[in-house]
Amino acid sequence: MVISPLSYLKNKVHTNYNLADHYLITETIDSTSQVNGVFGMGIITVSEGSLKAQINQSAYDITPGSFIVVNEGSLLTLKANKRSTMWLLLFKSSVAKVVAAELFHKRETDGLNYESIRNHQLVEHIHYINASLTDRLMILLKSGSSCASFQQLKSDGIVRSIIEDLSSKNLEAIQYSAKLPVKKEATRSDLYIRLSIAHDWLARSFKTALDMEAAAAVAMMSSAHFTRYFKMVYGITPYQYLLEIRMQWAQEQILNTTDSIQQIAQEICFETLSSFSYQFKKWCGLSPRQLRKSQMMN
Amino acid sequence: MENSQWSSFRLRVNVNCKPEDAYRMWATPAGLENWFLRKATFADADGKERQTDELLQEGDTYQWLWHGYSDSVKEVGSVLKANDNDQFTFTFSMGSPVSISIYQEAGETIIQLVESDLPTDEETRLQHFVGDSKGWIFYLTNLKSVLEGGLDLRNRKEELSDVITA
Repeated sequence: MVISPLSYLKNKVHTNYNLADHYLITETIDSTSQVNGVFGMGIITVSEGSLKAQINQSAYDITPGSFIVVNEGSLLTLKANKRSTMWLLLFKSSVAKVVAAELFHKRETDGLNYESIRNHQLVEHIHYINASLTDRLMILLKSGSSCASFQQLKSDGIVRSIIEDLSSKNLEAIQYSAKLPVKKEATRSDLYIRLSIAHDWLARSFKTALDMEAAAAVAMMSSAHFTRYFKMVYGITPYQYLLEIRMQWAQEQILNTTDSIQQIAQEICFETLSSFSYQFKKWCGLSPRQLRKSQMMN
Repeated sequence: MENSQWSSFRLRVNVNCKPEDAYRMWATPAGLENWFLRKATFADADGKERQTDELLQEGDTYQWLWHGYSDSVKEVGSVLKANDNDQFTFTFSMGSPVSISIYQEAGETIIQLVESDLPTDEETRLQHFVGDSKGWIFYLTNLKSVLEGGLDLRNRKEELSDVITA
């Protein structure tokens, strides 16, 4: 069964939530259902099962813990791989416009125009959900029937904050992608999106023993190209980026837990305590033990 | 009800307190946290953060956090008018102004709240006129309770939602 977006929304908003700034639809669908059409800007995730999403020419698998961003005007097809509960959060165009305009005036946007800020094409791909987004989606879901005070105001604030996050990420993406030495815009966008997915994948997989070949495979390019383009865009190599993420995490654990240094080192795939201590001191200026001791003294 | 009647509402509460105490409850960050917000952060026109007991001024901007909600739920806006005495106006829901007037009547202090310029389309009426007036009724009651030395009635638990007290 293929359902068009308009009839889908028309049928759903009465049973779900048609709030001032957004539509939020949660529905369990099986593999015989398919949603197809142009919805507008939004995000899609699943709380169980998985969805196959096709946005224009690109295909993504949405699983719990991940979501996709859909740009305004994109053609979207959603199919469930099995019985799945999908969450569709669609923003009303007027709100997205206001947020983009505010961002355009607040931030450093030299050389950019307002229309380019409004186009969210560079963040239209798979992302990983963080605790803050999960928290906000859960509040929005409950808000439709909630009797809490100023519920509408709070929902609008949440939707705005989600759009602001997406728009900030989009602005960052526009600025990063401009560093790629590719003239054709479509090629540059495609290259940047692949790098960005690999960048997020590294940040999420830092506790896994991985090599840069694996990250390059996520970006669908050779290891040499991946390292070269990654450094052009983010200013550091993929390996340095992974190390930075690991060191930041280790610092947090040293300061906020009682886990042994050995345990912390092992969790982020250091084979020996000495190699971890060496890297950490180089990064932080203090050895792990010195840092913990100074924390205890304070 | 005519369309124009949905564009604003007025609420009054009588409180047994000094007018200046009532004013500080609206016009200082610490005052607002006593009965309304979990955290009220204000900055002056130059972006400098206001002290918790400092009187707020026209042009200040705010970021508010609510009891019962994590920091991801916040409201931002600005102070439109503050006369350091009995008039205080700020932007609120959909940017609509909320004006507070404090005066005396029959030996008590009256706090009057007017929320105006609300859009009057049907969807907004239901969501903002009804929702906001309902919200202010609880919070004005809580303000009266706190100012008269009674209980703070707000829910402070994040794990407890869907209650009128937050």
